Amino acid sequence: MAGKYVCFVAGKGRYGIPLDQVVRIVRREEITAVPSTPRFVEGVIHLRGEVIPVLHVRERFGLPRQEAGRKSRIVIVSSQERLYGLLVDEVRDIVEIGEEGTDREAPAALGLSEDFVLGIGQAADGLVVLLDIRRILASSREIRVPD
Amino acid sequence: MAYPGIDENRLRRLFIDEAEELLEKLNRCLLELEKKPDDPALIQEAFRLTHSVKSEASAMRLSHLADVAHRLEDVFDKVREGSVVLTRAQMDGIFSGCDMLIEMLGRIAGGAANDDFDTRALFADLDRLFAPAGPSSTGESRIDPQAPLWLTEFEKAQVREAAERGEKLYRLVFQVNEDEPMKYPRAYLVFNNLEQITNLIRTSPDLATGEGDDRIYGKVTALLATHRPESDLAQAVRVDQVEEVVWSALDPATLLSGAAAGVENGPETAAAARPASVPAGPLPQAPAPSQATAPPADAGHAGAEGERPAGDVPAPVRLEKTFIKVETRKLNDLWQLIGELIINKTRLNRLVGQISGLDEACYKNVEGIADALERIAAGMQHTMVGTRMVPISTAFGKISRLVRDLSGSLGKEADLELHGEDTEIDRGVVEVLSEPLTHLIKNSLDHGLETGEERQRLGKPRRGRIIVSARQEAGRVFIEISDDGRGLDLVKIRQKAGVPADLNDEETARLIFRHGLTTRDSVTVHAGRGVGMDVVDRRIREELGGKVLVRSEAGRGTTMTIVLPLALNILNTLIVACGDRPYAIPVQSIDETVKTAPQDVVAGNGDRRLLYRQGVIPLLALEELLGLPQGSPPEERYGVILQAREERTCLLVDQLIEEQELVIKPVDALLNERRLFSGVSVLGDGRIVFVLDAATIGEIGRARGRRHGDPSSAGR
Repeated sequence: MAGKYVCFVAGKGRYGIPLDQVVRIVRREEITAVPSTPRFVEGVIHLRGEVIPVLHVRERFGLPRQEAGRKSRIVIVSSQERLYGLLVDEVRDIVEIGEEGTDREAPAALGLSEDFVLGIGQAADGLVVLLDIRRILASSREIRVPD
Repeated sequence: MAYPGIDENRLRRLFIDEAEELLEKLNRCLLELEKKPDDPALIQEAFRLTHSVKSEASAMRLSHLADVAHRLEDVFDKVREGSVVLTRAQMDGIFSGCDMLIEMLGRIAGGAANDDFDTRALFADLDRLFAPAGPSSTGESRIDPQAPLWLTEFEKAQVREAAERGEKLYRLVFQVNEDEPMKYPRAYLVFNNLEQITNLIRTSPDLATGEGDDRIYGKVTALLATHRPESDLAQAVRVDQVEEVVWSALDPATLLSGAAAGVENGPETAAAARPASVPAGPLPQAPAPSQATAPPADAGHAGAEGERPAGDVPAPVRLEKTFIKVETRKLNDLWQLIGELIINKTRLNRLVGQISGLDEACYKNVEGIADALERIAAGMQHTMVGTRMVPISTAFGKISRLVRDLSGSLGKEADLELHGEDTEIDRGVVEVLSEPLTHLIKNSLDHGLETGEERQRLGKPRRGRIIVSARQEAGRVFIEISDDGRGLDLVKIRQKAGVPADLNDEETARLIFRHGLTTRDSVTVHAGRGVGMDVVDRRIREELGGKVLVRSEAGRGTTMTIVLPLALNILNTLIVACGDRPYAIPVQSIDETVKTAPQDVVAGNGDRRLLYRQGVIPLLALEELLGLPQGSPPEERYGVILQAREERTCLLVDQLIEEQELVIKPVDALLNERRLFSGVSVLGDGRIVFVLDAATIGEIGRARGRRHGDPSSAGR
């Protein structure tokens, strides 16, 4: 779990995506809606020849939608050799989490759906929920995070 | 970080790829060999191939696989040394060895950890078949200067030339000391010396290329022509560690005519049996072997039969293509970049249009650049499509074996002709095509062709004929499988299918693709269960985006034509609009487009149907299917009649825009829970367009029909 994470904020939580899975971070651009998909699928974008599904992270985490702001970004991640976009309100920073700063047991205590979480990381300025991107993308099961 | 398991897996995959290719070549080589059992070049090739399989298998520590390959290698080694002409039984033994290798490899490719196989029966067979082993390689007289010598047409031409120039012909055999660890360099020295002073017509094994295991160069036979005295020959072969040199003068006339006469199945008869139609009993093969697998000795022999004017001997032409292996992922990346380029080119073109009024000189310049870019992009796209192409012979390779084995077990006699093996086709298509193709050929053999007796009674030639041909035409690939058998029994088909007796012939013939239909009263192992033809049709249509056409003439035969798109990921579509969003529908699943009239729409039970031809078919609006807000009422809208699995559904759309070829990418499962889409693409203006899946839409339409208790809604 130790390593670098790209952090974003959603609701009260601060979440980390393993940096080695992040391909690119792009400004929110026109997203083409796709009918007959789960609510959290925002649509698709066309980026460098690829058509990439974009997930609305607040929606995915069961949080109320917010008006997309100026800081809204799409984090392009690679999982199982495919690309996905995660639409977030704001990309905060990149943090380094040391091996001693992670805790696998904490998510349950915090009321998180632990299936989708690698663990909790202690960064210099607070806690970061480290996300298991592969499992988040592979399932459409509900994820609960504290609002 | 080190992952100890990974390299091993990668190696294994590489090995499997290599070995599959080698075995495929071996199979073809054997088929050719069965036709020309005494062609030294083919025997050499078979030896080389089995040898390579053996070496690679040993490197992977697959000992059983290596053993079988080794055993076959030994067999070819013996055949090569002696003047043994392979019998049919011996060929069968060799084929079973080859089959076992393929099976073992298949098992390993399927994930089996080892290659445990019972090889005893095979080895016992081979021992029995090759017991006499021809002139033994360990006996006293290892060199038999009187052993017959078979010449290819090209070599014959060279012999004729040499004789006309007054040169003397010699056969020279030499042996490198058995204990010499490096035989090839020794043998090569001799070769080099001889080449200086003689016209070397052939060396066996081929010293010029020097391929294969060193130990095959233990004994070398050379056929040469020269003006030089024999003493010069003796001088030339005086090389350290080269011993047992024997040479004999040959009479060109005997060599050209007599050699073949002495033994049946000589090259003359083989050559005579070579034209287009080759009997399946002794072995079917293509009229011309494809470039990649042609035995080297054949390379320069095109049409060499008969008298060639003196002084007109062509050099042995080697038209070998060179290949490198490229990871497919890299090609896919390149493909995507080209897609990007094309989209941006379209954008540029638009921009050029917009600036046309502003600055004339600048406009001319930019327009010129845009035109050049257009050509470059088109060229790149074309080349890129080419990288996915392989000759269709890869799919044809198995056919010869199939006809050989199956005609025997069905008690039928059949000649097979293959045409257009070099026709290129997307490699993805070849993978899927193999099975349906096999099925169609089985069908021709089993249902199409009559037995020999029956054919004689009918006044037809006793041997049936199956022609498989491929050609490319207008951006499509056509593969025809035709037989000269009895043709379809249309009366019986109408009867079995329960359709009116006056249904026209064309539509009746198409019924053979209907699930469960067979006209056969008894079921054989190979065909006749009525499953299969529907699967063939479905796979070709749905997986390959192609179609199968049937043409039949009573008593004269049946022709099945498979029509395929050239490349899998390029699809001809109709772009339609739903609201302001575009969607694409594959043209191959569209029957026709209509404008619905109010009187044709039947409402009932909260469901609507369309009166279409003589039936009623399900009617679905695209927005409703996609879960979007209701569009205009169904009357007087555009309807696209989709056809999937013989069933039709009418899909209402807001607009028919245009027909367009799209480069299709797969749709992520996340976006496709209901399997509504078969692909996604990007239009010239950058808009993303989803390709609708006609099969799913058909199913939804049918399910709705059933829900309302009206099975007759499946319009036909």
